[in-house]
Amino acid sequence: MVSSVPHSAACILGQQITVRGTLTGEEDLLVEGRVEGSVSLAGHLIVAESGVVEADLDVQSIEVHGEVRGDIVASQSITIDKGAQVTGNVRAPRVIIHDGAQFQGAVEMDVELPEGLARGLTR
Amino acid sequence: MANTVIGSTIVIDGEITGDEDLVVQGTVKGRVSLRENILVEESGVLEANVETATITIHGTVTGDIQASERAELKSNCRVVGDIRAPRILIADGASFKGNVDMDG
Amino acid sequence: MASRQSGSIITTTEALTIIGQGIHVHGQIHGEEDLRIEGRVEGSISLTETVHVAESGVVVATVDARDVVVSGIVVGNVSATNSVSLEPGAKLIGDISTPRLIIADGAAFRGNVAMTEGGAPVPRARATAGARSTGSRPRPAAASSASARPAVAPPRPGPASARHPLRVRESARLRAWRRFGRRRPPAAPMMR
Repeated sequence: MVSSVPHSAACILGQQITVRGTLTGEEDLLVEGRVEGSVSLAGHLIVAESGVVEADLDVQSIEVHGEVRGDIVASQSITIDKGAQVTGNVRAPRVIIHDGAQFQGAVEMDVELPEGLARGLTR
Repeated sequence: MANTVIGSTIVIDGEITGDEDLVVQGTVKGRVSLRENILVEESGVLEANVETATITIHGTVTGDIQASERAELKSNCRVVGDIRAPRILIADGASFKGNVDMDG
Repeated sequence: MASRQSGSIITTTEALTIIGQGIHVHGQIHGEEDLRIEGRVEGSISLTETVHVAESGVVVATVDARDVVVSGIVVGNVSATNSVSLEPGAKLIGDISTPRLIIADGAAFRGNVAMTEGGAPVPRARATAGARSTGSRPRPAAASSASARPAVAPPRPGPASARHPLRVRESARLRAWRRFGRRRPPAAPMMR
C-alpha cells in the first residue's frame, strides 16, 4: 500500500503492531503500525502513511509519510513528506519539508551566516 | 547591474542608500542617498532629502535635492525644496518652489 | 515617458519592484505588488503579494506577505498568508508562520514553525484576520488554495502567547529537547 517506501528496510513493524517503550537498533526500520515511547536507531527510519509514532526519536535519518508526535534528532537528515503530520522539534543538518506536509514545532539546522551579518546579530 | 525599481504600489518609509540606478514609481519617504541616477516617474512620489549624481523628475518630490552632476525637472513635475547641483534643467510646465544653488 | 537624452539615464516600464544588488533600504516597505530583493533590506516588509529574496539578497526584517520565497538570507520572523518556500541555499533564522511551508534540501533554517491551517493557532494574529472570525470551520481538505484561508483561532489571551503559540504545551517537550543538549529553548526569540 505504501508505494513510495523503499524496500530496503530490513525490519518492518506492520500495521497491526504497537510497540510501547524504548526501541533501539542498528538497522533500517519501517513503521507501518504504532510506536509509543522512544526510538534510538543507528539507521534509516521510515514512518509509512499508516504509521503513528508518539516518541522522541534519535536516528541517523528519517522519512515521515505518516504521523510523528515527539522530538526528532537525526545525525543526517529529516524528510517530512506531503501528507505527513509532525508535531515536535526537529534537529538535523538537513531538514526537508515538502509542500503539503503539516508541521508544528521548532527546526534547528546549522545556519552559517556571512561574517558581518552574524557579528551584527550577536550581542 | 539590475535597476532598482520601486513599483507604483510600493511605499518605502526609511532610508535608501547604494550605488545603483533607482527608478521611483511608488512612494519613498525619508532619505535617499545614491551615487548614481534617480528617475522619478509620473506616478512617483519622493518625500525625502535626496543625494545623488543625477535626478530626473517627472513626478513629485518634496525635500531638498543635492545632485553632484545634474537635476532635471520635467514638465508636469512638482518639486518643493531646495536644489543644489552644477546643472539644473527646469522644463516648461514644471512646478517648482524652493531655492536653486548652482555653485555645486 | 522616460527621457532618453543622456546615456546613463534609465528607462524602464516594468511593474515589478526590485531592490537591486547595490541598494540598501533601511526602514519599512509596504505595498501591493511583487517585490524582488537582490540587495539588502533592514526593517520590515509588508506586502499583499510575493516577496522573493534572491540569492544575493539579505533581509534583516520582519516579513509579512502572501508568499515568501527565499533563496538568499533572511533574519527575522516571516509570516505568510499562503506559503513560505526555502529554496536550496536559503538561510533563514526566525520564526515562520504560514499555512504551507516548503523547505528544500540544501536550505538552512533555525526557528519555530507554526502552520496556521485548519483552526490551528494563528500566531501574531493580524488585524485583517481578526475581522472574519467565524468560529470553527471544517478543516480544508488541502492547503493548496489561498481561499482555504484557515479559520481564525479563538482570541488568545495576550500578545506574548499569541506570538509563541507553541509555548503553552511545550514544557514537557522542552525538557526532552534539552536532553539532547540543545543550548537554548526552541521558543526563545532568535533576534535581539
